[in-house]
Amino acid sequence: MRTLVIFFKRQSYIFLFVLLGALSFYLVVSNNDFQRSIFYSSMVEINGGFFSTTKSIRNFFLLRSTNEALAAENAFLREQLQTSHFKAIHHLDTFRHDTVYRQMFSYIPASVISNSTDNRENFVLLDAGANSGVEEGMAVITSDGIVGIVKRVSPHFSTVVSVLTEGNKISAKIVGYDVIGSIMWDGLRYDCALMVEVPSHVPAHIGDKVETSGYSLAFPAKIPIGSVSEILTDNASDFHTLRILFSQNYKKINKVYIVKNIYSKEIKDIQK
Amino acid sequence: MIWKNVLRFILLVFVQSAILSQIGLPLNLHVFLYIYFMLLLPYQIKDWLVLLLGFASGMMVDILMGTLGIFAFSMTVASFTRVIFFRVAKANEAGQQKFPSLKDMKFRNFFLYVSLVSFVHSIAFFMLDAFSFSHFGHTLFLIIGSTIFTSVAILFCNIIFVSKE
Repeated sequence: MRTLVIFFKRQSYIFLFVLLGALSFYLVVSNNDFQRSIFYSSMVEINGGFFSTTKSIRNFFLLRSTNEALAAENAFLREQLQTSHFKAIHHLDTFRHDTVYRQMFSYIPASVISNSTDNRENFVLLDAGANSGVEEGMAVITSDGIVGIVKRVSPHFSTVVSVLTEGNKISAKIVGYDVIGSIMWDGLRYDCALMVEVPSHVPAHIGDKVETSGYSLAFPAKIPIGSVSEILTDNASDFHTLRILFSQNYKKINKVYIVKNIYSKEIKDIQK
Repeated sequence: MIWKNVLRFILLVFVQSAILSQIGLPLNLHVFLYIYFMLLLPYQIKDWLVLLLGFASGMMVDILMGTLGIFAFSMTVASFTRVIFFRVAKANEAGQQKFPSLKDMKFRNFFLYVSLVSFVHSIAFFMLDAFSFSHFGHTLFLIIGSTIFTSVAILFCNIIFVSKE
């Protein structure tokens, strides 16, 4: 302790030097504008450098959580991309609610199991039955044309009376004219039928498209049926008889859609 | 002895602030003759008193020149250099006289002593004056030039006045 005191006493001039130097330096900085401005700007520089250094050190330790946050955001943004989406609804049996347009028809996809075209009454057997919501009287269509009307339904299967059946009449019209006629099969060829009851004032031409009229419980409007191939007009009659070439090749039907009229029960009730 | 130092103090501070720092030398060089007072303080004087007296003389010049702190700081550093010099060079101190002079010390030692102290003083003064390291070349020129002028002036003063005593 004594040696320490002696040491400090011996070296006291150093402390005095530091004291006097600091005092005079303080006087310089506080009384000379030039030195003061440089001093304070340097202090700000040092201060800013210190803070930016400590901040970058701090940020280094925050890198991990920052990375995680960025990765989460990346994943979120990637989910927004179109490529991340697939079409979730593959079947067409969709029911869409809308306040303006009420959906009237829904569609049940089905495959053809057996099919006949050469008989006078032809039937199509489908792999969709009552379990899929198929009921009697429903229309069956393909993307190219009409197929027929469901006649009998079992839990897993259903039979369809084909268009190729004598005596069946399907309401139809020539595209462009709001005049109804009927499609009926004459039992001769699987690829054509007759369109009867078309008023004679309608100028029919070969190649005119024929589609469903929509005046039917079963078939929606504007399902293609075929095109006019021959005009068999009897001048004595008031009606055209047109030969129609089916747009659908009935030997080749595979995938069909069973058309469900959502309001069929209501309509039938009111028609009683 | 004391009165001689007091007289030297007053005279040198006056000469420094009234003449030497006013007229100025070409190229902005300075002659810091006032440190001659501190250089010739007696050997036996305490270190802290050397520092205080050095600080006081610098402060006096500062007050008269209106450069508060610059001369005081330079003089404090110079005084500290003198203290260190005589602590290191104790062997050479053994002179007959009571204060450092050309007569008492060998020329080589006295020249070293004067030039070292004035060099440190110049460094402190001009660095504080420039207060930055930009244009350091010019600052270095001022330091070395002023050291030479100051050392020569002090040696002349010592030859003229002390030798006569």
